[in-house]
Amino acid sequence: MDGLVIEHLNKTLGNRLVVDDLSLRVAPGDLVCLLGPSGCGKTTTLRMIGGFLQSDSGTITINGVDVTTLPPERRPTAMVFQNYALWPHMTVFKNIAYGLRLRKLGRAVVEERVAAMLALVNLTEKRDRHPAELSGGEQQRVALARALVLEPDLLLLDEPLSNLDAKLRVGVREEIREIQQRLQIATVFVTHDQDEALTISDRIAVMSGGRIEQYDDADGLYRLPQTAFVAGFIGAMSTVAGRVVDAGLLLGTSPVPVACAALGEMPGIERGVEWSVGIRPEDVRVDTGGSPTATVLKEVPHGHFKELLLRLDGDDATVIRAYVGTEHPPTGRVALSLARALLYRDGHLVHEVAPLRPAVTALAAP
Amino acid sequence: MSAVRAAVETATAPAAGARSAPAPARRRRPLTPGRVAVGVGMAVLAVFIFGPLLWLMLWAFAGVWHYPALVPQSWSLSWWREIFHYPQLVRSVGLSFTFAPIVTLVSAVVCLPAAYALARFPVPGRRTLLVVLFASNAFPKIGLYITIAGLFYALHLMGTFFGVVLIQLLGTVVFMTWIPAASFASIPRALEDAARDVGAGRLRVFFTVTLPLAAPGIFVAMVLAFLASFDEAQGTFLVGVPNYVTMPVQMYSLVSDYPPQAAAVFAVLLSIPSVALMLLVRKHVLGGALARGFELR
Ligand SMILES: Nc1ncnc2c1ncn2[C@@H]1O[C@H](COP(=O)(O)OP(=O)(O)O)[C@@H](O)[C@H]1O
Ligand SMILES: [Mg+2]
Repeated sequence: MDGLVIEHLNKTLGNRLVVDDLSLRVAPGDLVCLLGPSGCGKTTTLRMIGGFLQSDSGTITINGVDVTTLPPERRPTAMVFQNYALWPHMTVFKNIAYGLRLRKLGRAVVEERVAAMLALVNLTEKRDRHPAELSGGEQQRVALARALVLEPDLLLLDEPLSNLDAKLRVGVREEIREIQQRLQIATVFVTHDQDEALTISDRIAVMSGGRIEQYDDADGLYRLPQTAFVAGFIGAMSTVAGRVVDAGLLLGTSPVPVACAALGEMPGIERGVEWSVGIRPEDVRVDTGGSPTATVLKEVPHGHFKELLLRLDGDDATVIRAYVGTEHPPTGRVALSLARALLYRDGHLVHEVAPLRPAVTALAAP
Repeated sequence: MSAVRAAVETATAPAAGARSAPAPARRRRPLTPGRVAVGVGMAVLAVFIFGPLLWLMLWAFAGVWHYPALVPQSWSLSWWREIFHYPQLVRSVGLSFTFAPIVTLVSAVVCLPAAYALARFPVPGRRTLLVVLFASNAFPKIGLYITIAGLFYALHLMGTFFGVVLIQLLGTVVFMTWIPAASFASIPRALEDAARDVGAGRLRVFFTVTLPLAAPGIFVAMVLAFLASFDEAQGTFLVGVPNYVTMPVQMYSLVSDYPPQAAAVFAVLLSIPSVALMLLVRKHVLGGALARGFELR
């Protein structure tokens, strides 16, 4: 198969299994994010793909060629390093031209291709500057140009935006995405920032403890986080212990209605067992009428909406979050109902309860 | 030597300069007893350091200078001409300027790879090695030289060119290892990785990325090695005499066998490379393009 194929990759560093049986496929032209908290093995994985680190076992194939044991200079990959790693003693031009010159291309060809790259990243004027004379954003673009000028089969980026200030970050990530799509280059992008991952990726591999927890597109990750870890990592999610009853879900001491009227009668759903219920704040309906089941603890304004922190009756330990409009937000005692809920057991998603047909979707437990 | 120390510090800590905030503008402060004491101390120190040098310069250009006059009674350039009429002295100048560059180069070739290895790879016992290197220079070397002399006799190295190179090398190894090792260590590995990433092999990475970036430190180390070799007298005396009498060795006999003016001229000649190299360090390492190139983010 074309693109990047990683199979059963393992790496132990300092007596710790840092990458644990990791398999991943990146289709040609796709941008895939490795997303996970600091220390979960993202950089280690990327460095093994780039050839800077030898895997203990497993294979890495790029466009059908097994590169597992090749040194970096013989892999069709190009990396943008976290601190850019521009050579401070070379000008912008020389930084970008370095790889081309190694390939014994003629002067004119080198000039032309570097010029084209400089135009692509909007740095034509900075051609003869040294890296120290450039801003962070400009250095970042030089690093990108240096990687892209070699027309690699696979582009690797290690937290390329982490050294930019917040405002610049959004602009540059859109730029990277646009260039990536224009060149249709397969890309692995490492980040710990879910916003970054959700906005620019075709698919996202959420990592934790050296393993891939879930490999999905942004939509799938948000709608159906397959593990409790992903549920907690992507977006806001309240997690509360609950049981299935006739009226819906028994959370705390009160039954909370869920989407469909008679949840307990749905086939395939176990009653009497305790589920870990995952609830997105936008799926919580808060009413002041009816019999109250919760208390509003706090109201947090977010501009165009408000977030309520709620305490369920009979469950003092858990806080449930709900998003409501800014006009007349409910206060005091309220009644809750859910538009949607996810049922987890042993850290894995088992059921999605949603107003679809059928209302309860049984999901194969992994 | 303070210029050298400053040069060493800049050369081995490339990123430091770029980060330090500009110093606030200095304002005139009132004279306090403390400040006066510092001023006097500095003056005494200056006299202590420059006094003998001044005295030397005076002697080098003196015609007649008898005690108790404060300055020579007459001036003369004749000793500058005279000195080149002693073939022995001319030969020693030539020898000094032959040994110093050779020793510097050999030292670089031997020590730089070692410095790189010490900086980059987990060499077992690297701390011990560095400390031993340092210690070998921290104590009077004459004991070491005597031991080595015994070895050199056995190996028929006494009185040979190669023997002199070897004994002079000894005094350069410490600079040539310590300083470049610090320079190499301060180069982020990612810079080397990035070069390999775009297709350069290990050797090419070393010569196009690592070496140029470590250049200021290496340059300073070579200057120090050159001067160490140029000024080395004890070991050279022991191993080289009578075949290879360099300038500092010649100084021993100059003091007893020639008029004081000859010794003074010779001493001034001996310090020319020091001054020239110090100026070079100032120009190229502290203020030049190399320093600018090091302003990493
Ligand atoms: N050379 C090493 N020796 C020992 N442990 C290492 C080494 N490199 C990385 N690690 C450990 O491996 C884990 C994963 O590191 P890394 O891949 O850099 O994580 P991430 O990029 O996701 O933040 C971390 O816990 C780190 O401490
Ligand atoms: Mg990392």
